[in-house]
Amino acid sequence: MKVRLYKRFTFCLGLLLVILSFVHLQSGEVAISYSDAWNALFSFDEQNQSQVIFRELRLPRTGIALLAGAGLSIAGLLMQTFFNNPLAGPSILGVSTGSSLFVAISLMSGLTLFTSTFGIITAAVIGAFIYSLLLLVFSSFVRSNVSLLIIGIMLGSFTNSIIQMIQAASDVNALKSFTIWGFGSLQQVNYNQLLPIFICFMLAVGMLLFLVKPLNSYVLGEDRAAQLGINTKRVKTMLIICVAVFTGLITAYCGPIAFVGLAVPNIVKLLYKTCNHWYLLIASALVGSLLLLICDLIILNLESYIQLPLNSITSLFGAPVVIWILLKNNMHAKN
Amino acid sequence: MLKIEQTEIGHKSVLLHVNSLQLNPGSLYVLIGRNGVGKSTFLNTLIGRIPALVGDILLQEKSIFSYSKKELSKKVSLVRATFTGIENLSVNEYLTLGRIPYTNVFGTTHEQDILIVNEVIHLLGLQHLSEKFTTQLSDGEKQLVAIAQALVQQTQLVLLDEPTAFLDYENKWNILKTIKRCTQDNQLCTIFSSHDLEMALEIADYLLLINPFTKEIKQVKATEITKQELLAYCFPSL
Repeated sequence: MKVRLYKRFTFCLGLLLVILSFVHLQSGEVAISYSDAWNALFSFDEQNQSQVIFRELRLPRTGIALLAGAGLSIAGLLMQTFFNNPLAGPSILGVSTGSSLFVAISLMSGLTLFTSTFGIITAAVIGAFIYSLLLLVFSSFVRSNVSLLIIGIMLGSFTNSIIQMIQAASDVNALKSFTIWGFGSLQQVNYNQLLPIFICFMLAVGMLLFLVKPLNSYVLGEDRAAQLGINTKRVKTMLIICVAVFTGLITAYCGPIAFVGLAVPNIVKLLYKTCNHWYLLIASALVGSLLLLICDLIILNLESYIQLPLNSITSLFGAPVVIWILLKNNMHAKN
Repeated sequence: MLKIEQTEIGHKSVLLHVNSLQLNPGSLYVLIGRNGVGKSTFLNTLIGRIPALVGDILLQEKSIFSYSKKELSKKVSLVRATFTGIENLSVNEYLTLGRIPYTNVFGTTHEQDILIVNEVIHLLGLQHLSEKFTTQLSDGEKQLVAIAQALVQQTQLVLLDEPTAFLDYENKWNILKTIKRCTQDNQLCTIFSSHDLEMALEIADYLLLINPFTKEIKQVKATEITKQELLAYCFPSL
């Protein structure tokens, strides 16, 4: 009975996501007919202005909002289960920042190989991978949840200062684009980049299928997971690769988006009240996409008055979630 | 089923020395020794986490260190002293996780797995708890549920690290009786460590005594030793 309830609820979330995606595609100053949208994909006419808008602006923006929300939320859930810490997430523990550092280095290098789509994705994923690895090393020394959080925040600040030094040394134009990128933005992806991003994303999702069983066992603690026959070394490697691909991929194109990876899995756990990662992963992806679509819809609708950066909106709801978790855990400890 | 001969156990330095031990199914063994003498290290060695320094440990005629992790997870289980509960995890889900060694790469549970979980739930009388979250249980219930998960894992060798350390008198007896019953009914080989000497003497089939000076593990029948002799062997400086 419970399972059926989960399935229905998940289905409703999916339906809501589809509806909101259409709303998002239609939001903007120019109204675009369905025939234009269809033609933009299958018989593209460069002279038709609304087709160009749909193909080059609308579709990539909606697409990356969906992928970014899902990817960051999944990365957050993986980190939370693995570190056994509800406060873990790619942005707060510095993985996004690590990814930013490598993107900054590759952009400032000026070499065409590094500034290509492939080069930036690779740099971002490598950066995220190295920082996840660092966290893994640190986490074996600290026991407390809050200690790991503080280490992550320090790691982020340390890296940010390096990024600022690189910025100080770069020219005005590069500085401007990097600063805008750092605010978090869903507008910097074009149509041609969407497909490679999607393929990388789906490869990581493929790997994720083999992580569900280990993740469910990690709920019992790494020690017990090993006793139940889980190969913890292999799981660690796969998990870090997944986190790095999801975080790096999104950070490379949208900048370090704050709090989504931290907040969404906690909201999902509150809604589903289960530890089964089949549900948690699917629901995190759906809720993450939904949330980022809603944030971007707010930005789109206020665009004529004010240009809001994405991170200002995500932090607006994300930061209270962190405080709420800390309060809840403290009350739990007191009782 | 478990055979240890001329084996030295420890992390880096030798903590324990085993001359000759042979443990059989259907018997309950209680491990007794001073704090820090190496009881937990001994149990951790038996699940293959810590390699033996010298010698070998044979489980069903085969060295436990030659089993793959997956094979070993179907042979040995270890219940830790405390289970604090896991948020959003119901007792039913918690017990089902004990079937992980038997599921495929995606962790799909089959009808048989659910049957086994229900069987254990009935065996330990956990029906009224199965829908509760593990964080909502009392300390005694948590320990019972942790033992139930080991039973769901269906290993013949079951190790328990001080299963009654934090329980009141009534819960202690309930847990110990349950362990005893399951050991006999399912022909398990159960070893648990304890500091509760009276209870150990009463419930155990055999005692595994650790002398802190010679660092040797001695096996004696529970009916053939008095409390004084036991104290003299395990706590000689008393």
